[in-house]
Amino acid sequence: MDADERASFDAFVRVRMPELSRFAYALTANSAHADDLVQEALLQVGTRWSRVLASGDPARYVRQVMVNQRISWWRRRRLERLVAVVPEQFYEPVGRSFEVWDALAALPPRQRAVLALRYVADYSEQQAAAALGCSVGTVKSQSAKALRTLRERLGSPLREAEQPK
Amino acid sequence: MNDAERELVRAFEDVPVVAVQGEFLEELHRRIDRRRRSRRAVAVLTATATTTAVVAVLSTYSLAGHSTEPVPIRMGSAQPAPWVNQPVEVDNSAEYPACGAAEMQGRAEPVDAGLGVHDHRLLLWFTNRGSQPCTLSGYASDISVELTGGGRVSGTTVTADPHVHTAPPANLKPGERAAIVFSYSDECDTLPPMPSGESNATATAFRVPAPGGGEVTIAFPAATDTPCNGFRHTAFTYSAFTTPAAATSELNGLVITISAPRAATSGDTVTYTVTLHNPSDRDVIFNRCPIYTQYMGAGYDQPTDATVGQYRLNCDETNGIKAGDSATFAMQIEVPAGQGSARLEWGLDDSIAVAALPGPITLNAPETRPSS
Repeated sequence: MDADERASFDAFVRVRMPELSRFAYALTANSAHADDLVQEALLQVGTRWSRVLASGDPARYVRQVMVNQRISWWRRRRLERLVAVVPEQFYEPVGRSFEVWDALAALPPRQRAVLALRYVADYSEQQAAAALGCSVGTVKSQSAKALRTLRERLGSPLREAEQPK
Repeated sequence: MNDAERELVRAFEDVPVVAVQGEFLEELHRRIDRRRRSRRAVAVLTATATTTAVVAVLSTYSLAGHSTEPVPIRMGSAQPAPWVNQPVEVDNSAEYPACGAAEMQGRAEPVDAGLGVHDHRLLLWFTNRGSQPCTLSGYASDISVELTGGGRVSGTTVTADPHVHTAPPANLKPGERAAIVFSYSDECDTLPPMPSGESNATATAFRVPAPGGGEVTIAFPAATDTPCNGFRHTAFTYSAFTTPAAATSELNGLVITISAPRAATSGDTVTYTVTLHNPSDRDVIFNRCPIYTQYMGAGYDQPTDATVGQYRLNCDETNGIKAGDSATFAMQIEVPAGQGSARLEWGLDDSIAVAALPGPITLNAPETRPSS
């Protein structure tokens, strides 16, 4: 990575880290796993940064790496910490937020991925389907199921949820 | 956006903004550079095939789908790797009621375990199709294979009388699945000739008792090679119910041999060795340093007292085992109180790799010291 590439990569990490962390946390519902996921994704794109830039939307590229990586992690039980120096302490939600995250953590990973793509990354149903390699119908049904489960577990004010438009 | 969606977005937005420190970026670049260097090394080595050993290590990573940098296997010396006192806590508790057959859907899947031409493995998958979570753990009481003509053949668990359960329980929410590893051999040359009329006795189905009651029937995969045209003349073994990760662990192919003194004194700490042999044609690399469980039970078959502990292997000395090679580790365990004989077992956690020392260890009472 030459100096210009490195500067561009560093700027990307500094600016995009908050949303990438939030997306990773939504995918995993676990602080440690989220940190691992972000770091592994950044390592992967860092080794081919010029090509990632050429894609025109590096953030989308990184999110896709995270989704793909997460799918492979679903098949493995344990994760390995990749970077010892984490940028921040683990997030520990409290109060109502804790209840919501607790309920999110109990969802099947694929349903959580749909919610992460739709409500954190703001993807359309079509974009979420493409990212997950499934049909739009699956995205709709998984999203509806996830919201229904959250409603059942959390009650009011998570009421009368319909699937996202 | 409705209430549910709004609350969800609020929860997502509650995740705090992470400030990126320079130290983090520096570390990230160090790792990126290492990856790039190792990729260049892979390209050069693969193109020139200078050393088969190194290429074998790298191809192992490729086969296993690991994303971390390849590392050469660091074999220990001829001496056993010294024991290191690194105890760990592992939570292997069952979280839900035992799964019954009525809520389980079974499927058999052949796996390429790289075990050699005569040894085969199948994964028996059990998916929770019920509406409630349930747990599958421990050994099924008696798995049998049904043959054409109605006969059945029974197998044995991977350890005859296991006290060490290294396979973690599978706590299954609806839709999740667990597995049993089913292993068999087809070394038919060493078996007696097949009596006439039995040559077509092929396997048709597995019958697996569920811990929560009932029996799951799983069709035998049609395309699977069966030994000597059936199971009638051969034995098979099966693992405990466990998680998909443990059922597919690379450690499962390792053959464990325990070597220990045949007599020990209660209260003493004895040293013994464990040799891990990799009979496969693939290197096994400890990407995470494995945890093992050791067990010594006084009373042998009916334990009255036992010492059980979980530790990490000495991965500073040995971080993997090359194809066809072995690694030996020194172990230490406190001899439990009791009389008669003791049983020693050892297994690798998060896998189905377990073994017992063949035969008992004679227990000696501690010497009585004269009072002053």
